[in-house]
Amino acid sequence: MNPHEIDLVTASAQRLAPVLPDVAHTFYSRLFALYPDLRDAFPAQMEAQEKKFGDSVAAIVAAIPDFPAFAETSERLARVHVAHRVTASQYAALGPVLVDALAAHDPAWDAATRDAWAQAYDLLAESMQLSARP
Amino acid sequence: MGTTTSLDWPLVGRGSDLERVVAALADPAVAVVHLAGDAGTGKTRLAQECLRSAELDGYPTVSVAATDSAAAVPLSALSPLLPDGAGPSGPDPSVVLDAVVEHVRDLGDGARVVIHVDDVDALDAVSCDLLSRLWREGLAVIIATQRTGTPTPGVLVAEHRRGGVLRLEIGDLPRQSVGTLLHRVLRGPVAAEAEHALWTASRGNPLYLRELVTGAVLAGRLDETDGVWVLSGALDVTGGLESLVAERIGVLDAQARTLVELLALCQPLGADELAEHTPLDVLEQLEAAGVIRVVVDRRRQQVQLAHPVYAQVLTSSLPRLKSRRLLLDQVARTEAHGARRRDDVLRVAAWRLDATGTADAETLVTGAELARASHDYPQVERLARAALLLEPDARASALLGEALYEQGLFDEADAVLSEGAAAAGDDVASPASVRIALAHGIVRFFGLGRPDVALAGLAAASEAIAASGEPDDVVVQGRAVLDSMRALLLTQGGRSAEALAVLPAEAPADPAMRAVHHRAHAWAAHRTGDAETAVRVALAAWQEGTDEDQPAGLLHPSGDLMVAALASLELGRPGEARSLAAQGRDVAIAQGVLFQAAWLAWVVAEIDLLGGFAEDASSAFRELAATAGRHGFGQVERLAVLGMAESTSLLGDAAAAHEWLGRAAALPAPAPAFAPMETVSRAWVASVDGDLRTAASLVVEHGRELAARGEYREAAMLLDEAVMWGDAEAAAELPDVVAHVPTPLGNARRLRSQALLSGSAADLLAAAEGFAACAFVHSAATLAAQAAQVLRAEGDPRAAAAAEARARAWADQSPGMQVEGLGSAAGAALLTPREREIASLAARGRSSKEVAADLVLSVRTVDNHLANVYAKLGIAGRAQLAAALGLSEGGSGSVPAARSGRGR
Repeated sequence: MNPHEIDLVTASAQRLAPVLPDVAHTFYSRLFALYPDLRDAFPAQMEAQEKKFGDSVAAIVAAIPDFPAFAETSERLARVHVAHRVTASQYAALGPVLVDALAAHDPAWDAATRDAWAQAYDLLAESMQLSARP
Repeated sequence: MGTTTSLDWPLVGRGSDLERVVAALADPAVAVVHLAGDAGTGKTRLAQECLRSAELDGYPTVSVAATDSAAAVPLSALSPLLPDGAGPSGPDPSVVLDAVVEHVRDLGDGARVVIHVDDVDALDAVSCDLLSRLWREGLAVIIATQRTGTPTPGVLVAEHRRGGVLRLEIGDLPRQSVGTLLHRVLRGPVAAEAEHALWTASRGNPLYLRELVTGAVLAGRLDETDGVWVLSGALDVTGGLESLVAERIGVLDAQARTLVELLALCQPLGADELAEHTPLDVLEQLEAAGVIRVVVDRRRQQVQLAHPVYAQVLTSSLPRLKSRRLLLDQVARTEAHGARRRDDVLRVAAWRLDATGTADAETLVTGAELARASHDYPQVERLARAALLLEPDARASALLGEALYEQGLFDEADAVLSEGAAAAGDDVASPASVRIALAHGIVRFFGLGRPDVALAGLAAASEAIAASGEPDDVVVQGRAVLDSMRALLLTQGGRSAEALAVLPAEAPADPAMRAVHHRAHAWAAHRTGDAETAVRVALAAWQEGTDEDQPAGLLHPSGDLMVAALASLELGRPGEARSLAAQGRDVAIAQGVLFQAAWLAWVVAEIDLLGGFAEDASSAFRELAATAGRHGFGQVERLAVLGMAESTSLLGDAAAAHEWLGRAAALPAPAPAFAPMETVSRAWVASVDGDLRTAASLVVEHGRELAARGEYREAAMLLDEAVMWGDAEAAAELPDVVAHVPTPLGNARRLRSQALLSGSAADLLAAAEGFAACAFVHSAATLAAQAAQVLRAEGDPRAAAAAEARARAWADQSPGMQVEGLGSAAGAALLTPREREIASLAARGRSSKEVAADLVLSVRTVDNHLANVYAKLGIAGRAQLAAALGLSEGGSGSVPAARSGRGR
């Protein structure tokens, strides 16, 4: 990522900080609508999950500029997801769903911010998959 | 093959492919996984990862590579499959074949053996048949890679028809994957320009990308500065890259070779034109082999090499005389066709120059003009220089001077323009002479940082035109151009009132020069307080400047967005301001106008800082300081470094702030127009040390000076800073200044000064609203918190709670920065400036005697003040002072008042 993209993502994340659980809610709603089979992989009550999701987003964004911290954070996240056997195609499909959820709640969203988030997601998803490969 | 460094290249962007292959290995219906793609796309790497995955899943695996030499000896490529001791030759080949089959059966022990075959197109027929037998008997599953443009073995085609082949096209990586790969390989952020250059050269081909990156790292061109990887200079053609390309292009016959070399030098070329001298089947073969491709551009078929890196490599290794011949032949063909198209003149000029080192002057100058129209400054420089070698030419001098300036080569630009002016002699009113005088003014002012020389030169040139005796309309137009530039430079020199006086009533008729008038008008309006006009004129200028039908102006249009952004901020529209600045920056980067891009990047960072995002701004300033430093843009570097000083001080890191300020001292001073920014940064650093007196006096003094010169907006900004630090004199003077700045932000500042003087909660809240309306939430939060304190002291807890709630709501939008009056800094808002000064020194461990000596007061006075401070803060004594003021342990960090963000 370039520093400008990192700025955009960081600024967007800061704007979203108060409403991350809402972002999570939007994300999971769309996820389950698109992939009903996934619903069983998650708890019936989603509040705790949505909070965890928000914390993860915040942690990842904060870590991006510091590579060792980012590597560690993405590895941790990867371990959680490996248990659920998330595939590469699923990672690829979920990127736009996540970005749309962010877009829905960020008041200052623009095209550049979207591209920056997409790049950040790609970096994260690839990193998670790399650490999951033995 | 290829260069090596210690960089680690993970497999990126192939996750889905990897999973599909692994799934196929377990699927008995799939006999062969066929990975097809161009050289360098990473098919072999992917196959290897698949093999590794298979091994871990418990499959037996074997890896073989077909080569052209192995193909000469049947079965030799498959020797890893042969049982130990068996040889490929023998009296009865079928005995050997049976032995192999049994060996593989044993190896598999019930499961299929996974066999990776690299470059399957080079496999000999006997080996192909053997593999086919193995997969049809269910003993093996094959992962085969094949390069595009090679013939597919018959057995594979047959299996494909039977439906037993999973075929995957492995293409170049998309841009996002390249971004991810670079970040992972280099272990950190990569500057946008570096990413752009690597993407453009590699187009996502992983092998080329790897070669380019390792080459650049080894050559020291790609280097890490302050946590960001930056590229300086062009990407090199490495030996490894040459080998890769040579292998990819393969062996070509003479005709094909010549065509490929011609394209490398002259691409793109029309398909029809090429067909005139190259047989169609040669073209078709090269297209099928993936060496060239045809692109339809405005209904014309253009032929070019399939990958940008081919051209780069081929031209660097082409012998001089051969390239000369190819180029001149192409020139002759283009001219025989009449050189009708707009681009043709430019291309012919460039080709002649490449071939012989020269061309005729007229062609060169016209070509240079065309290159300028597309902002291709390196090309302008080449062509204009070549023209000047032939004879002095005012137009060529002007073009060369401009091109050198845009590339940051200021001294040379200055020399070139001086020579050009001398050569023009008495012909002062010609368009070329006017243009030279104009460019000279810009170079001297912005490039060399010599404003007086710049302005004097322009005034003299304008007067010379007036005295030249040329016809009226020529004089008026020539002077309009030069006086517009004078006005622009005056605005940059912080003399905007003068600028408005000098600015001609009518913009010059020459569309290329209109931008100068608009730019001057916009800046002068903005700085004297008329933000509405500034935005209107700047955006209109931007539209004009980017209108495709318009010829290129003297100034790069992205500069219009700079003033539009700053004026939008004044009008209380920071989101719009940031978008405009970011847009300008991106356009400037894309067109390679790096100097301009740096200025706009600075504006973006400043807007972030003003918006309360000190962390973001700090990382942006850091990247900018590194980039500007690398390119030698001293003024921008200094402003970026000062931006770091300010943002770190706002985040409470006094040590870092001082360090950055020290670095700034060694860099050249920016144009006077930006001096207010510098004063503010210095004042912030003083405030970090608790020295509010110095902080306030710095900004007040400068503010008064600006007001006297009519730079009302700048003056208002500085006086408002002083008001934030509690300076009552500044508060009294501000209304008169801000009367000239009828903008939302000007109004908010006026309200703040009123609130300081009256101290009433109503005024404080009005001021808070005023700043909130401009989205300066940190100031809004601070003022509302102060109002809450006042209301509490007046015994109205309900109103106080309401005010505090509003303060919190606003504070939440300004992350990382403390708001005075909320939390532990409560009460500090009530202190007078003198009390605050004494309290902060005492909190840092100074005894009353020491404080008295510091401030030249009696010890008794100091103790009296301290008693008042304790009472106001509701504390017992010195021991609780630091905590009450919100200072961290050990006395480091800033006095809370200093944390009210600038303009926030």
